[in-house]
Amino acid sequence: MVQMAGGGLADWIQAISQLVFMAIFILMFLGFNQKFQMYVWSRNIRARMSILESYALEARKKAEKLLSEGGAKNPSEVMDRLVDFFVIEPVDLEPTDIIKRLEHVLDVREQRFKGLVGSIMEKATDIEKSIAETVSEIAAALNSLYKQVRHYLLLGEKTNNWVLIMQLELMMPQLIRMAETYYKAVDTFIDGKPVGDGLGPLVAYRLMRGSGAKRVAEDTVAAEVELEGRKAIVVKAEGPGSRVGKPGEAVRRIVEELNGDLAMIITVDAALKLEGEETGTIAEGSGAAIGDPGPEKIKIERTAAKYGIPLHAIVVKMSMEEAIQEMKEEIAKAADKVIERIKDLVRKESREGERILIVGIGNTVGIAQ
Amino acid sequence: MIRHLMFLMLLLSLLFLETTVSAQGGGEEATPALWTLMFLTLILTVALLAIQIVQQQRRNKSTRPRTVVEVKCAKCGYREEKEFSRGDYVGKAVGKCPKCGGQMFIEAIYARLPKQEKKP
Repeated sequence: MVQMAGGGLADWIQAISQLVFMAIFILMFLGFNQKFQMYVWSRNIRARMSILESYALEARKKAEKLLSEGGAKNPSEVMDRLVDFFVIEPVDLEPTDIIKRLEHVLDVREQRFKGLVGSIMEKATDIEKSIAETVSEIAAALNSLYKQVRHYLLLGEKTNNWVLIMQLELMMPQLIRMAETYYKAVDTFIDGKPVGDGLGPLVAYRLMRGSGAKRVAEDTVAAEVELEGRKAIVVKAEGPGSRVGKPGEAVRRIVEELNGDLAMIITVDAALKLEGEETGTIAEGSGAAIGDPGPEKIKIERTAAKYGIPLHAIVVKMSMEEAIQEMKEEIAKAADKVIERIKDLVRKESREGERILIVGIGNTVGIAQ
Repeated sequence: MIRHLMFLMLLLSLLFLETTVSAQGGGEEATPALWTLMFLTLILTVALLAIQIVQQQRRNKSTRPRTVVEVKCAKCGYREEKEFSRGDYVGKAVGKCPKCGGQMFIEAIYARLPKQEKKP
């Protein structure tokens, strides 16, 4: 009896298994597999989107805390404006004076940001205001990233566009990595610690320390020092607040004041390394080593070209994460090696008594002058 | 590597489970060996998962960087390291040199990892 019952159960299991396989086979022909795949991808994307959302919300909370510590009475209202702040790129169909138009738009953005943050942080110092601006910008970037991912996910689901969902699923690890980098940078800026991008200002500080730096452009300072028997004018953003300054404008003003009487211009900056390259590797090249959208870089290039001044670049390699997070030991140690490279370049490419210009490009948070 | 082993054990345990259930359903007595293999692979899966979690936790702990503040005397070049505190910045004057009494300044602030792993 037990054996017969066992045989009957096996038949039922077999019959149900066959039915299930048949059903799955038919549904695959009807496109169910795609829908199921879309469902799995959407679920994965939503799970990771919640991470993006948490980063955006946490960064925003930290920015609001900074604003209220600086005396802001309604930080949430200001953050509502800042996180959705946008910039419309100038028309590139007509490229005439595009740089001037771009510079104007970026200046307006910067002034607006500074104005919004500065006006409500009554008790804060300039350094604290600059750090609050940067943290707000990071919060805005994270908010924008989260909203864009959400937009593409909802669009893909609404239009049953599995290709869009698939692309988003494939991009998610990269986007999460980017968001994590930005999020980790928030605490670094709040603590006022130097970031990897501060390599240029660190080199400039080591060259100019104690030489009485003076302001030469907005948020930018310069000092004249002796270097290998030459007169070196060293330029950097004004620290230790979170500023990048206007190095292009500073170079233009200094060179015009000297009527182009310079043996060379050297820019020092951080550069993105390729996978497999070691952090802290130093490379030399020609041109303006500056990663701005265009206005500052073109000023350096135009000024150098106008007077025929050789334009040298020295960069230290690092990843994007290392550039905006706390400065690593290898990068800090590279600063002295960069100074040796500068001295070597100056000895070989200029004569004693000549004047040279050295520009330390980068965010100067945590680095004074 | 552990993750691959874990998935392999999980697949094997599911396979043994299916074989056991089919055998039972077919009226045959599933051999003790089959039951043992099934439970063994399940236990191995759980053990490998536990090892994976512990290793990950250890990795997270050991890769947390420490902020180092290098302080240097402007007169004699004497150097020392101290812990970071909010308000420190490169160029800040931080007391007198224990060797020559000169002014000490913060020379660098950077993150140092406990173990530096070189990638190919």
